[in-house]
Amino acid sequence: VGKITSDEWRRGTDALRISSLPILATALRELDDLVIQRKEPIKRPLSPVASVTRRTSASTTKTHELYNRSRYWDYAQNVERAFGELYQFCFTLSKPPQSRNMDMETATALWSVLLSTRYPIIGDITTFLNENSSYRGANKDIWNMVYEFCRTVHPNLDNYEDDAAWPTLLDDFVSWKRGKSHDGAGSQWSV
Amino acid sequence: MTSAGNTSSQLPPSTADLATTWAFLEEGVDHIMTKLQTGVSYTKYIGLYTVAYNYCTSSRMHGDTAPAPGSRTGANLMGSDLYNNLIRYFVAHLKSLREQSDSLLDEALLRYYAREWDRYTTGANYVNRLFTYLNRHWVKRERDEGRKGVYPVYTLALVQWRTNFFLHVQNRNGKLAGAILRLIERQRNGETIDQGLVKKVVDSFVSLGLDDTDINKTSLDVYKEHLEIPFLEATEKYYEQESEAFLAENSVSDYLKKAEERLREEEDRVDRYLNAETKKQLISKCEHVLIRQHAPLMWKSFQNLLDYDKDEDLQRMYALLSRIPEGLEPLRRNFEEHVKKAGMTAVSKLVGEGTDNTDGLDPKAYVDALLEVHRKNSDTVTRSFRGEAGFVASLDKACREFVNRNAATGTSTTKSPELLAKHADMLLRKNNKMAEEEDLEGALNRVMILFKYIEDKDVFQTFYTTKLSKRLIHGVSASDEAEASMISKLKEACGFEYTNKLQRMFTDMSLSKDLTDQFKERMQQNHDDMDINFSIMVLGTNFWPLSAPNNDFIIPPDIFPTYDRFSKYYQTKHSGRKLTWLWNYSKNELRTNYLNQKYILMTSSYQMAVLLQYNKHDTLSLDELIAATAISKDILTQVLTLLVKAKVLINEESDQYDLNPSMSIILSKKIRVNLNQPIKAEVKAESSEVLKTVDEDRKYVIQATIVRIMKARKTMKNQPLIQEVISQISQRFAPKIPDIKKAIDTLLEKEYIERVEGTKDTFAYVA
Repeated sequence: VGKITSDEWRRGTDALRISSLPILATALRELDDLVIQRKEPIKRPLSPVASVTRRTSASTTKTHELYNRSRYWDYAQNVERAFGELYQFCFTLSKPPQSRNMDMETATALWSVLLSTRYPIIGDITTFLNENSSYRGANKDIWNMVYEFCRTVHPNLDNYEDDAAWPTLLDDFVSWKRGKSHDGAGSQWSV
Repeated sequence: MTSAGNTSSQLPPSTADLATTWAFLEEGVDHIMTKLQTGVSYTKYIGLYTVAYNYCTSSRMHGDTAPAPGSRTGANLMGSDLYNNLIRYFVAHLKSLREQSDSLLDEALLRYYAREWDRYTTGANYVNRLFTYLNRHWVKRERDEGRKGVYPVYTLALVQWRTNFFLHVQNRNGKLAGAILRLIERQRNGETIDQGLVKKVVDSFVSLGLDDTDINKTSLDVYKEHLEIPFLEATEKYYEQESEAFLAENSVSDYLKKAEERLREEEDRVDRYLNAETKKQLISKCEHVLIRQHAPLMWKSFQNLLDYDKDEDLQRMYALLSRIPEGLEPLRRNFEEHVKKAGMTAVSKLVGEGTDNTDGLDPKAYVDALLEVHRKNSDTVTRSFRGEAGFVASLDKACREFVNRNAATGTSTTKSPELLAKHADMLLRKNNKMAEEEDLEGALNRVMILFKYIEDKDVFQTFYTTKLSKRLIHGVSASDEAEASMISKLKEACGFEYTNKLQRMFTDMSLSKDLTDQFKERMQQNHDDMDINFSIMVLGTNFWPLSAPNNDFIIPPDIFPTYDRFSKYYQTKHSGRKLTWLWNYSKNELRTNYLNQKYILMTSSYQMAVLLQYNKHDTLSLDELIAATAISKDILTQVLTLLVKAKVLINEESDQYDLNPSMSIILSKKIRVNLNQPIKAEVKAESSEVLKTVDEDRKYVIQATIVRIMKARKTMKNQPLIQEVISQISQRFAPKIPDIKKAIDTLLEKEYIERVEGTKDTFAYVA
């Protein structure tokens, strides 16, 4: 899965001005907290009286930063968009370069990592996919639509439209899930 | 002069004054109006005319009324004097008529009125002509100057009649119209009445309608106000009561007859003695009371009529309800339900009678059952509903429903097309009892009736193709004409593409015949050891639903030379073409020499390969036979089982097969013995094989359709796309929405289409 060339690596770490594994770890943790875990962004180090001595403040900020966080601040401006970019990137990164699809195992693993914090329903989706092995892989459309599904459909599925253009996989998931909750409701009635 | 003025016989001079003149004229007018039958002499008539003329034209001024210069001429004033005197005369005359009528009622009143009307109008006509000059000059000028209350003398007479006689009688509770209505009611009750009398009085109502702005036009105001409105009210009341009372004591069937009769009567009534204008309103009123009010009851009894095939009543009910808006809709729905139920019941009965599993269903019985339901109800539509389009649609809808889904099909939509195709196959085979030309053509037409309703036409197509290929290969088709006729019917129904393969199959057959002949000719020139009679069919892979055997086959040496020669011959003729030998479809004839009686065994190629082994051996084991023929074990055992069953071989020890040396065991009087029975596994596999092909084909058809649509439209939303796909494909089969969605998924994956960014349900064509 996912290859990064040394050239890409070097350019990336250069831009971020990361030179050691602990700093890389910090950067990744901060990014994870922000974009995936959706925690509050870290506070910018308080710059001494920004209005008066702007130049000095800028330079001090820079010098006090552990690594170049300008990307980080960018992302903090619009976390949703940042996540969207990350999500897209993950597909291209993780599928075999010659293939249009990603195998289901990789896809479900990635979904768990990327979506489960914010959209618990992805857990049901992966359970469903594990139970039904007929879906061989996730193509770009399925990848995108699963995210769209998580974003727009209520956890109780009450706003899912059966005649909308969802991929069959999601239609199947919804009827599977509805069937299950129906059973659940049934047993509750009998109690 | 004054003394002469009182004598009517003497003509007053042209300079006579009004009193003198009028005295003369009045006597004449009264004569005309009251005793015209006694006659008026020509001289007298001319005299009257002249006096009226003279008076009007005399320029003499009257006493103190000097005419204003240039505006009012003497004639004006003269005219006005005469006119006013005429009015006074009419008023007085009518007063006496009216008084005589006061004591009269009903028919007597009508008779009096009609008689007086006749006399009055005739007289008024003559009087009118007496005063022609007055009409032409004075009246005309007055009217031209805008005095609308001035009329020509005849019209004046009518106006006076209306005011002083007609309205006077009518104002007493509509005495006159009431008399007419009572007479009509008596007629409705079955009495004979004087229709001429009614007509005369009614006509007077029409004549009395005057359009003040244009006296040449008649208006129906008087007729409508005084007669039509009360008449319509009376009609409504009458039929409300009658229909209620009638239905309380009679059946709906009788009521239908009654209503039909009544409607006809009322139309006649208008023609006989009412104004044509009334027809529309009267009929719509009657339709409302007689039909609309009782429509729910009719709708309710419809089913009963259907159940008992009451054609005439159905016809009547249809005719009646078709007259009111929305009247037929419930019938159409009911009929659709009825036909559907009839179809379901017919099939359930059939399935119930036959074996429990529907596999054993006889195609002919099934098709006949469906056709019978269609025929019966189609007849009903033509006979009772005049082939009305709405009922035809109901019939079609119901048939489509029960033809595709019934007790025999269960949830499978492929069962009906399968059975229909099998039935068609049996019809087109040799030895079919219906083979007489006309019958066969009719039977094929009936197949087409059901074919029209089949949803999965592609399933029919596939089964039909398979069956046709068998008929052609085995040479069991009844006739080429019948085959061609059926194909042209299918082509007409579904287009060229649908029957393309079928037609190609025929082409291959005739080419093969030529090829066999050419090959034989060639062989006769080059070889003289052709002791094998050989014929070949070369069939295009794409057009024939045939598959090559997936097991090996060792070609017996006895036929190998022929095989080899033909292969070479064909290669030289068409280099580059690949021949695949379908041993599983080939057949052979073997002559026996080991028995007293010579038999000809008709076999399959596998049977032939097995039997040929016994030219050298009397007994062989299963393994030896496998080795010798390379036929797979499971097929070979079935081949052997058949041969054993036919007692050509004997299987006494397991897996050991001996040639049966005593012929008496083949208990056949025939010389030719057909051993070539289909192998069971093959028969069963056939249906599921066909269905698999259909399924696979459908996927591609749906995908191809989507691509075609998207290529034309570039972008499209999900829902319209699905609708479009359904509408384009439904000719061939009814695509299921999940299948369409799957096809969309596949095309998204293959990147023929893509989801438009930022939208959830719009797709774009990827060039």
